[in-house]
Parts: sequence; structure tokens; C-alpha cells
Amino acid sequence: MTGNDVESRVRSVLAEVFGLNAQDVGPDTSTDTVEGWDSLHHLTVVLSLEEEFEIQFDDQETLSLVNFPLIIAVVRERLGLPEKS
Amino acid sequence: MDASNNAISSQATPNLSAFRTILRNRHGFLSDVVDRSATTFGPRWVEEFEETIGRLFPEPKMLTLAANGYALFVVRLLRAQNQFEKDRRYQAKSYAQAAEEVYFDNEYMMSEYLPALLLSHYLWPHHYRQMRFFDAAFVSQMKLQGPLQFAEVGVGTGLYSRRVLQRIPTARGIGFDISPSSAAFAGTHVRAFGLQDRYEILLQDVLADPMPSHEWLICVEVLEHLEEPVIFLKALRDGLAPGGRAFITAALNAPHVDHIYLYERPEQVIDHLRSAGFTLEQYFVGAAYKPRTPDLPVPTVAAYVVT
Repeated sequence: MTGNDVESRVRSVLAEVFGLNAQDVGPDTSTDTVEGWDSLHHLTVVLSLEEEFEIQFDDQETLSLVNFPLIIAVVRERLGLPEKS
Repeated sequence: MDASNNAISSQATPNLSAFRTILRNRHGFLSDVVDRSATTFGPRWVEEFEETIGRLFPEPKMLTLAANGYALFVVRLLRAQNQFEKDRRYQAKSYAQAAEEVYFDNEYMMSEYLPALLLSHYLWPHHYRQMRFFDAAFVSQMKLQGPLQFAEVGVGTGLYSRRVLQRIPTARGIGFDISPSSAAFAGTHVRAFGLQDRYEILLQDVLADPMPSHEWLICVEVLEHLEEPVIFLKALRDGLAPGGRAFITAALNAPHVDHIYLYERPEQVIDHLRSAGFTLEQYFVGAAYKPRTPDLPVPTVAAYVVT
């Protein structure tokens, strides 16, 4: 799996959860900018990412998944992919 | 997204404002909870929560740690609720296991469990509504009596005892708990409000070592922590003086790490209360949120005034 695959799939997950167009999901997508990203939706994001990538986040990681760049970084780390340069 | 409540500002409510900023900066998915509750419950909520966090977490670092503990508590709970929706049962656990994992784990109790539980009584609408029911249905009756003694069994954060002491200057109370961490936290809580001269906390299991009888008893969210709630309720009934009144609550469909007995409906608690010899006067039921579909279980609180 490449870094681009991760970004594309995270984009799709966030678009699906929040009813957005995938092309509108990007570096600025965060709990600050997305309407309705509350605690219940946060869990949906977390569970959807876990299902998409077949991974399990720990509690601290679950807390940290609050914007697109952080999600990419945490997922890449979970998948054992090198950090994005 | 900015839906800030006008009643919250760094000048008028510095503690609430700081707390909201911590949530926004560190736990964005919780960024709206302060404003939402302020809008729902109005100036009294703002005043109460401002005072509570100001007294309990007076230093910025303390407030940050409390907010972090609350956020962790929430994500764990949401995961557990998600699993509970599938299983419809709590994790199989004995009281002794729960006690070891939670009540006697001082680090967990002080950094997460107790601060989160306290904050939840202001940030979760069903918890706050339960407190308001307590004021309206129970404390208002206590006020009519004049000087009085009350006892709280399972004192937890000390919140309910503090509310009585704060509202009734002639009241004196005693709190029982098995957890040294709870006793310490509740002691700090009562001292932070300058009420310690009228309150005592004992590390005592009232099942093993029965308490003296009181005319006013409080027991908030203890039943679901037990393997056999009716046995405990009978001990509470024995601790209620003739003509006395008790405020007893239970959490329903709430798969916390230390919840053992699953109550699914408020009527199950009523059955237990009656089995223990209590007579029901009035009760309140509040759900945490509207379920995504009608068949899903929702965390609910049920509070009962009994004699």
C-alpha cells in the first residue's frame, strides 16, 4: 500500500461519514471545520477507519484523530509505512 | 464551526472559557459540549459549572488533566457502548475484579475516572437533569426540616453531598465509600467549597459493617456496580430511619468498565427497590441521547425518591 492509497482511502472514509465530496476532504478537514464532528461522529470515524484499514487504534490514538493530516500520520504508523517526507 | 454561547467569556467565566479552549484545542470532537449545555440549561448551569471547575481544578494544569481524563473516559465509553449495542450485555466481571481494576487503582481513579465522572454531571444532559431532579424532589424536602443529618453511600466524587451542604447551611453529612481514592477526591471536593466542618467521610463497606440509621439517605449510581443489588438495597433500607426518605439512582444500559448488573428498564429498579422494602414516591428517567434507531439501547439514568 502506498501513501497515496492511504490518503485516498481516508478521504473516502471522512467523506462517507460526514456526507462530503471526497475532493473537498483535505489538509484543512478537522473537527474545527466539519459541521457535526461531535463525539458520536468521532467514534464513527474511528470505527470506519479501523474497518477500512483492518487496524485497531489504542485510546490515545483514538483521541488524536481530529484532523486529516493527523489521521494520515496515525494510520501510516499503524500500517508500518514510513513517515511522509 | 462557532456556536459560542454569549454567557461564556474569559472575563465573566474564566474557568469555563479556559475549559472550552482546552477541549477545542486538544479534543475537537468535544468542542461544542460546553456551549451546547450552556444553551440548553442557561445561566444557572453556567454559574454552577464555572464555580465547580474553578474550585476543583484551580490551576491550568489541573484543568487540562481533567479535560484529558474526561476525553479518554468518553472515547472508552463510546467504544464500550458500540460493543454493548451488539452484545446487549456487560463484560462478565465480578465485583472483586471491578474493585481491583477501578476503585483501588488510584492512578486511574484520580486521573480519569473521578474527574470525568464529576464533569459528566454537567456535560451529559441526562446527568445534569438528574441533579436538577435531586434538587427539586429531594433537597427541597430536606430544606423543610431544618437542621438535619444525612448520609451518602458510595460518595464517589462527593458531588451530591456537596450540593446538599451548599444548599442547606444547617445540614451535616457523612459519606461512605470503599475506595480510598473516592474518599480523597470527595474530601478535596468538600474542602474546596469550605464545607468540611459539616462533613465526614468514612472508608466503610456498609454491607459488611452496617451504618447507623439516618433520616436522609443518598445513593447515586451504585446499584449497577453490584452483583446482587437487592441485598445492598436491603442494607440501605435498614439504614433508613422510620419516616426517613432516600434518593437512589441507577444507570441503565451503560457499559462502563465497572458496571456489572445490567438494568435495561427503569421498572426493573423499581422492582428491586420494592423487594428491599422501599415505597416509591416519585422518579425521573433521562436518556443520554436519541438512539440512531429505535431498537438500540441508550445510556439512561433513573433516579427514585423512596421512603
